Amino acid sequence: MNPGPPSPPSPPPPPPLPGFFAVLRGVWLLTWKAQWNWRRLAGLAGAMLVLPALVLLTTASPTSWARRQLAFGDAGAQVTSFGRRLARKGSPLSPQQRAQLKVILAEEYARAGNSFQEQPGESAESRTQRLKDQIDACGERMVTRAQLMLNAKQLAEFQDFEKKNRPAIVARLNEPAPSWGRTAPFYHWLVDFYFFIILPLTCVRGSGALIRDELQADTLGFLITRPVSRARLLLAKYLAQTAWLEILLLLETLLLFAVGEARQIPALGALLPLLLAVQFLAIPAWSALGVLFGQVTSRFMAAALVYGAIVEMGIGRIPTNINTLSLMRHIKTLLSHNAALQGTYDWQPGGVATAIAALVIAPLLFFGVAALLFSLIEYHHATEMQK
Amino acid sequence: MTPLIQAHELSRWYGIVMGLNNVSFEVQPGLTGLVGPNGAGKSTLIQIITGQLQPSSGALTVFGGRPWNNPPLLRRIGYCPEGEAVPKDLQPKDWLRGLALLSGVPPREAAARAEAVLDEVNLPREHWRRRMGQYSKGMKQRVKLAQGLLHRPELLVLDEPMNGLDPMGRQEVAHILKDLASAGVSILISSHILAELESLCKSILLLNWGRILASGSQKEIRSDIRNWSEELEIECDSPEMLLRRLFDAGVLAGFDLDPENGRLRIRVRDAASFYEQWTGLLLASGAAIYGLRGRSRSLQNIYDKVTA
Repeated sequence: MNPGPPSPPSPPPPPPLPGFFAVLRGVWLLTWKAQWNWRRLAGLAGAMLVLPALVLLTTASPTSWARRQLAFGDAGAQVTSFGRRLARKGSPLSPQQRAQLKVILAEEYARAGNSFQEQPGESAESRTQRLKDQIDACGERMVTRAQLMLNAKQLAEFQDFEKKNRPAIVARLNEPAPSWGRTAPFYHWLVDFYFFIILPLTCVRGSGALIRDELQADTLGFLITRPVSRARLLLAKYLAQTAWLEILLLLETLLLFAVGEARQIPALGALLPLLLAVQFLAIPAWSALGVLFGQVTSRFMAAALVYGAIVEMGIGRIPTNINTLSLMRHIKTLLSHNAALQGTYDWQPGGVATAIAALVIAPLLFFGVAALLFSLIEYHHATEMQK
Repeated sequence: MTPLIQAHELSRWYGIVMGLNNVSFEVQPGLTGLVGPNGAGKSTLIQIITGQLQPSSGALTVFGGRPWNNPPLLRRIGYCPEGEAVPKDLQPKDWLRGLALLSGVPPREAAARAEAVLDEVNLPREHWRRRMGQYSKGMKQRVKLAQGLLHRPELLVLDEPMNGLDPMGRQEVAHILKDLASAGVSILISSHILAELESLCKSILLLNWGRILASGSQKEIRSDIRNWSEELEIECDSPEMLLRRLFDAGVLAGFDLDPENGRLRIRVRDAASFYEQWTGLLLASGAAIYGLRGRSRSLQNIYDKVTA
């Protein structure tokens, strides 16, 4: 009897359904490995150094701040500048002359500063004239005293140098005094710019692109045809992205605090743990918002800006209970428990438990809606989601 | 034999654009080709089969289940999408390892499985440490094919996998697919170039304008369309006499006479009826036949006809 043609062998059984941690590990590998090349890392490091560099440039150290606050002049800087000029002319100052001249200038600048009094209601012209008179008198006194320790050539140069400096001193003293303290720029960079603008936008940009970038690169099909439910896949992507952002933004915050330390901003030790704890809560919340915006529209950054303007800058500032809709409001509540920030901002302290609950519930809510949308939406063409 | 894929009155539209129009068909285990010109609805059908799209109406089942949001079913299906898109910043081993973890391959075996499938698609090992953004089209196609094999699927769905491959590459991919088929994996492969599939697939689904024009084995398709107009080229000593007989019998849909070379090209209305009368008509005409060529016997001709 003919047994007939042999039937093809059945393939080995497929692997079991992946567990959530295996999915998370897979997505983390895809997220992390894609970033791990020198080109991307160099770009990332460069971007991360921009803000600390700006903070370093615009925050004064205690020494330079004190020097800037001197009323009539900086004796040390003036003597250094005059010494260079004399050296070029072939008649350099001796160390002894340099020290004596510095004492004379410091004393006369202080004397002039002490004798100049602001007069309420005085016109700008009158104040400028009084300043000029004071500086002229100060200059004459310096020249008279310098006659005793400079030779004729040096003295002539000093007279010329001192006269030329007078208009600059008048101009500087006519500038309005800064209304902030030395530490204020650091806090404004750290809190207003970094914590309330850069950090949320970074989270929304990174998380909004989770699915959009896959669509744009036409690689989403490789993921959504795996034996993983869409909600679980999105959750794994969200968690991997959030973990990545937590690491990056932790480094950025530490860099900013290192700059603060370098500029001797006081009480940073108390602020750092609080800020890191709030940041740890804020990143998942902003990221979940990004995931939601990314599901709703391809212009998720524009949506985030509109949301920021309406909810965070608008509703969040209304002094009633409605401002609890604002995430920033809750973040401010938590940060307001730091003494240094209290001195810079007039935030109203509120319930810590409510603020923490809001920052925990918000990402659950945002992500829940995003996962629901992701489970329902069909992605049939890469260009479809560009709408 | 239980069909792998069954579609019943399946339709899918995008707004007012019809992707698939009320199609019903079955796909049996083995190698099946899905052929149709660009825009015929191949990718739509494949995306429904792989659970990326839902039918607008009707039903499609794979292994008896509906693929949309059905992870246990997707575990049995491997998919290789159209195009050359792969993550350009990743090395193939890392990408495949990540996808293996998503496919249920145990973490301890994921790296080894990634290497095994890269070997299976013959991607030379010296390229494994390069980022995929630097790959040629052919190498990308191989890696894409490899990712579809990671979880040892029972059904492998390939959307235009030969695109971008040189003739050698096509031959190699065809060889890989034949090996997989002989190992018991069923394969559904789409192409807009019929010649690619004619020698590879014993079954064909012909698709155009969202409709299934013909389906079954190549032999069955030819049999199905025997009533279609067919073209013949006849070389004989007196083509005029033969033409008169054929004309009188009313079987012609058209003709082209070349008496100097003794050549007659005819189009017949009903091929089956024509072949039944052909011997009698030939004898009655008294013409001596030197050559007879049917121009519709290759599947390519059928494809050209139905997609014209």
